[in-house]
Amino acid sequence: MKTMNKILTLLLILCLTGLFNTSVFAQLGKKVEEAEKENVSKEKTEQGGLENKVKQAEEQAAPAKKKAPAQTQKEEEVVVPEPVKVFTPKVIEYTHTTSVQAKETQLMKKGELKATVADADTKVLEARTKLAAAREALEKDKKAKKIKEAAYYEKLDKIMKAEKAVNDLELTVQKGKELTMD
Amino acid sequence: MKSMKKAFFTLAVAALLLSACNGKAKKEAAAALEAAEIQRIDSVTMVMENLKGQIDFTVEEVDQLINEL
Repeated sequence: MKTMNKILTLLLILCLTGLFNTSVFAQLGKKVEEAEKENVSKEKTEQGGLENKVKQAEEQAAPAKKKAPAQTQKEEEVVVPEPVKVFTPKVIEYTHTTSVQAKETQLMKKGELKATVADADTKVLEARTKLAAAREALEKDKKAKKIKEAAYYEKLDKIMKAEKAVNDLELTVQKGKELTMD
Repeated sequence: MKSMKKAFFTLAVAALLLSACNGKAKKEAAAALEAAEIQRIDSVTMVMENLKGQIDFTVEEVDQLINEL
């Protein structure tokens, strides 16, 4: 009789533990669902931000028409805004079945990004040197009056555009460095 | 004694059922965790890939602008 009682107590303990475990797993499941929802909402906001950026760039590409609605037929024919190339991020879908596979792909992409970042870093330095030289030569030409004012401003505009592009590249390289840093 | 045996049997069945449920719940929770982990890793990988594309694109742009000088 005593053994029976002991067994019954043990079984009761087992049942209680089981119940506890079930509730723990239910809570864990809820947490996982919440994390998934958070991930999805984050991705949506990121995509929304990117779309906004693309829209802004598109608006910048064609501001002349919007700002000056009363243009003559001739002017419309002459002013053809060049389509500005904008980098559009892609939504890539991977077909990983395990986290190990996903990690392997990530490692591979990380290596590729590191190499690209290193190359781009060198490119930034080279571009800065070239731009500084071009600016110096331009100023010299201006001082020596070898160049007309219109040509000077045209070249200066080009240099400034290139400098802006180099700044953008530097920022992107910085992001890449942060992402590949361990 | 008979009622004791019945109670013992019922409890044993209940314990078995609970353990089976626990096993299933464990598997499901593990699968959900794995899926969430894969999604997290893949989103970072996608950001990396897009950043690489953006760098390549900007490098091309810089090259073109410098060549125009």
